[in-house]
Amino acid sequence: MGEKYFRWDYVLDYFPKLFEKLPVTLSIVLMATLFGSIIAVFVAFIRLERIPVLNQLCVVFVSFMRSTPIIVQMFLLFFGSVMIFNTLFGINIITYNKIWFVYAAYALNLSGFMAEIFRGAILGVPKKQMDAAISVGHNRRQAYLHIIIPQAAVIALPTLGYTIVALLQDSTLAFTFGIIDVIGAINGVSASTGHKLEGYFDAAFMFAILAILVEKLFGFLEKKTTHQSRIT
Amino acid sequence: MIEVKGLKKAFGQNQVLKGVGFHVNEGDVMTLLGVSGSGKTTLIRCLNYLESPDEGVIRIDDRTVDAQKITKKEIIELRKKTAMVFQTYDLFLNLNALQNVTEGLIRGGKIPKPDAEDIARDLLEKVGLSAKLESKPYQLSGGEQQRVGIARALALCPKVILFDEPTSALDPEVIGEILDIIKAVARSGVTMIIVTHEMEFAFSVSNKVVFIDQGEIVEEGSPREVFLESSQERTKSFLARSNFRFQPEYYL
Amino acid sequence: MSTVFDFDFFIECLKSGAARIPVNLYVAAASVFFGMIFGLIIALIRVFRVPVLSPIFRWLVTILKGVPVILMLLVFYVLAADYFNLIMEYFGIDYTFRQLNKAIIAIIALSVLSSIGLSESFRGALASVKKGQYDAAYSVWLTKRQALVYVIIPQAFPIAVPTLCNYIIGMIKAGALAAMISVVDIMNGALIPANANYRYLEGYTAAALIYWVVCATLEKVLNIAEKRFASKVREVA
Repeated sequence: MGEKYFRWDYVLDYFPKLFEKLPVTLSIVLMATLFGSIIAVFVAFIRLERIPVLNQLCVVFVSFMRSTPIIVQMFLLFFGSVMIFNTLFGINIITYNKIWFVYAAYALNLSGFMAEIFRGAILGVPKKQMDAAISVGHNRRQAYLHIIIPQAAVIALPTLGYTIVALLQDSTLAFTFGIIDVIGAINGVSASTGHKLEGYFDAAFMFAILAILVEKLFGFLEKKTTHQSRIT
Repeated sequence: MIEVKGLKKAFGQNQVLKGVGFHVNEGDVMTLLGVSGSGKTTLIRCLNYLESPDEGVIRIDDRTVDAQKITKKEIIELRKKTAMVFQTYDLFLNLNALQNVTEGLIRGGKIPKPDAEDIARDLLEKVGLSAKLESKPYQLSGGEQQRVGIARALALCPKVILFDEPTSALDPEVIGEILDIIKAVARSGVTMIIVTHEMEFAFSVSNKVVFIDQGEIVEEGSPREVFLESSQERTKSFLARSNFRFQPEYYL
Repeated sequence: MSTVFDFDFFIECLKSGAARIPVNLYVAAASVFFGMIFGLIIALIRVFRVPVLSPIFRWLVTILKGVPVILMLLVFYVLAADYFNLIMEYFGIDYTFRQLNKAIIAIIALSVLSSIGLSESFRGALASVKKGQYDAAYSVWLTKRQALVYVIIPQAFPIAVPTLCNYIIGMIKAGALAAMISVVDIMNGALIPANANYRYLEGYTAAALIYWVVCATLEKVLNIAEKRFASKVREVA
């Protein structure tokens, strides 16, 4: 075993190499947020409008996404789709780029959480707002679009901020799937030195900064929106 | 029995108390009058150190403290001479009516729990709440909460009870009931200092009135002297604005 | 390797994974327990602006809040791997890193994270108790410590309960990450039979099902507890 004390020169040495992999992490966050929120809108809508059968399915979906670890979901999605595609279509997808499975897994996971946030936010808008919107001649769609959703967005914003920070942290698990993201790259850069801790230090630093940035962004958005439509 | 000298307090740039002094004898009922922001609430809160004055000397009973060299121990000892009734009642939200009264007795006064409960039951009965001993604050109306607040202060048997606008947050129809309770307490000989906006009440309950404006005592004297015979312009204009009208039927 | 789902094998994975439920439960319980203690201490230090310590924790919390769980686990694992034997040697204790129950490392790392997270929620809860409650407590002769113990904390706690419940669930799921530092949790447990013959689909399905049942049940139970607490302290309208 070599010298094990903490080496600041390795911290500096590793940093650019790990920083290079940050786009991988960010792409997971972006793709998950984009597709996750689209799915979440549908799920929330189905649940709010209580569309039979689909409503029950969505309840199960949301419960599963919230109650199982993302890492289990990721592997389950992978092995599950490999099996399904193989038996049903005879297509072997095991060789496909794994990053797409990661995007899909995180989008599905996030949508489970986001659907609940959206639903809660819409329910948080006083019912009278819908009555008032209809009384001025809006139909339900217009009422949602122009009156309810803008107010719900204000309610949802703080929780969404937390969820995105949590997603940012969860996205690091992609390395367990063989994705070379920031964490995945640590093994590579430390292979010759035997010093992993310095790599973890770099990664922790990057994620801490990212989390602060996301928090600041949402804090800014909150400030921007609250004075426009304050709910009392 | 209470002696206050040169009390000063500033919040940042805002000098709220500019050297206030007065004295109160045992059994006195003193009311503090003044517009909002005149410093009367700050003054009453300084007496038990819920607010720390910057300068000045406070003597209550045999305990004298100097604001510039007071210790934590002295603060606790000074507080043990007083009790307070708050504008917003400020009952302990996690405790029921009985526990609200016993809490200070048991923890602060070191009185055994059964004795404290006897005292509390007795006092809550006196303020007309014997049916609601187990009720939590959220289950009580504003008037009921303030009754508990008064019982909580009385239970401590302090040298002086401080009332900070005890009826300002109440619905008009229950203000009278609470004022009657306070009057009954006053008649039993308890020393009290009351901040209030109820002019008729102040006139009839107190034997000493202090008018405070912009952090200074403008005038002090008997209710008659301040309300009816004041020569001070500031007092007169304040009374005119507060719709105080001398009504002989209150004055026997 | 056949591609269809082997149901008997799935049952085997289910049994092997379910046997590990206690591991997840005690890792989560211990982490949340320590997190509550240290979280409360940090929250109090920050609410009362204790000199020196308060700014230190402010920075520490801001930075560590963003650190991913897996990173925290890996850091503590590497630290233990590097130093545990040296420390044991120094004290002359015959106990090596190999013998060390890795769940202890997971508990330490997760305790640090939950202390940070819960300190934020406790801080918010303490701040939401109105100032009048302190005044009232002091006015009936309570000391600062008594006011905290008998008045403020009992009112703040129910406000923090929902976050606390989320944390318990989160920590049970974090057990699956502890699997990365070779703790045999529900996931690793369910995969033990699968590792022998590469039938991972059955293994992960079993793991997912167990986690689902455990977390959803716990959520139901915690929801009931939450409602009880919510009714205990209600703001005066």
